[in-house]
Amino acid sequence: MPTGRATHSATISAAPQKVFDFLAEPTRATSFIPGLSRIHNVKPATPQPGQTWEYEFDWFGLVVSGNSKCTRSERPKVFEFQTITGNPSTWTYKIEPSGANSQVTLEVQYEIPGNVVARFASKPVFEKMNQDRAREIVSNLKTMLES
Amino acid sequence: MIRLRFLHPGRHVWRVWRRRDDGLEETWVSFRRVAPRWEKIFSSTLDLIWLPNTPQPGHIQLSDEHGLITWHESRWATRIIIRLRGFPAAKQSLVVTTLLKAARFHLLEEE
Repeated sequence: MPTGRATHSATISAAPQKVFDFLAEPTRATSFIPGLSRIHNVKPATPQPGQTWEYEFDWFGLVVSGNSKCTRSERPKVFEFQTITGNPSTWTYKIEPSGANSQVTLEVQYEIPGNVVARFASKPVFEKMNQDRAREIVSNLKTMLES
Repeated sequence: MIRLRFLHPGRHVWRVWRRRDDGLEETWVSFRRVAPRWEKIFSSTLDLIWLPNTPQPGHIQLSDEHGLITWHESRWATRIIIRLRGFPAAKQSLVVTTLLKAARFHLLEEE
């Protein structure tokens, strides 16, 4: 199956530890990921590799649900998880110190589905949607942490 | 296996009114048989996004005069009013959207 990659980076006026602590709590993701309706059944409660949770996503009126698993949690540098059901994807947040601030990069690697999504959008449109979504997520994270 | 549904499994909460001036004010209506524990739903959501708050029966005050959440129960419905101020407009929008998601989905497993 073909794969795609969306990435976006921004400087956030907050210490890396603060950024990491904000984004490494899975249930908090509904505050900065557009369309993500619900995170629940998080086990265990503390962020660590192997932690799993269920998600529900509103995709243009359709409810898409599945499971995710944390694959890397290295405070305050890297937080990574994979969606392990639904459309496979790997989400990596990298946080690097930049003076008193943080340079935050989100990289999402995903498979381009040939069935469900292809009915709604061509491959370039789908890739642009995901790139726009990555940009929006980092922008929202910056808004939540800076003000 | 991806799971698709046309109807979400959460509470029925709709935004019915919105006004933006120096802050953001929204009114929502929730139709339900039994009123959920709005105080816990909203207070724990605000805690989650690091917004200090003081919960009281029927309302929650955000610290530093950042706003107020009130709810009024009737037999079949709850009217919820959110007033946010003091944050940038972008943050107000994110917070109100987070609260609406919480009103629909947060703590569903307890009901």
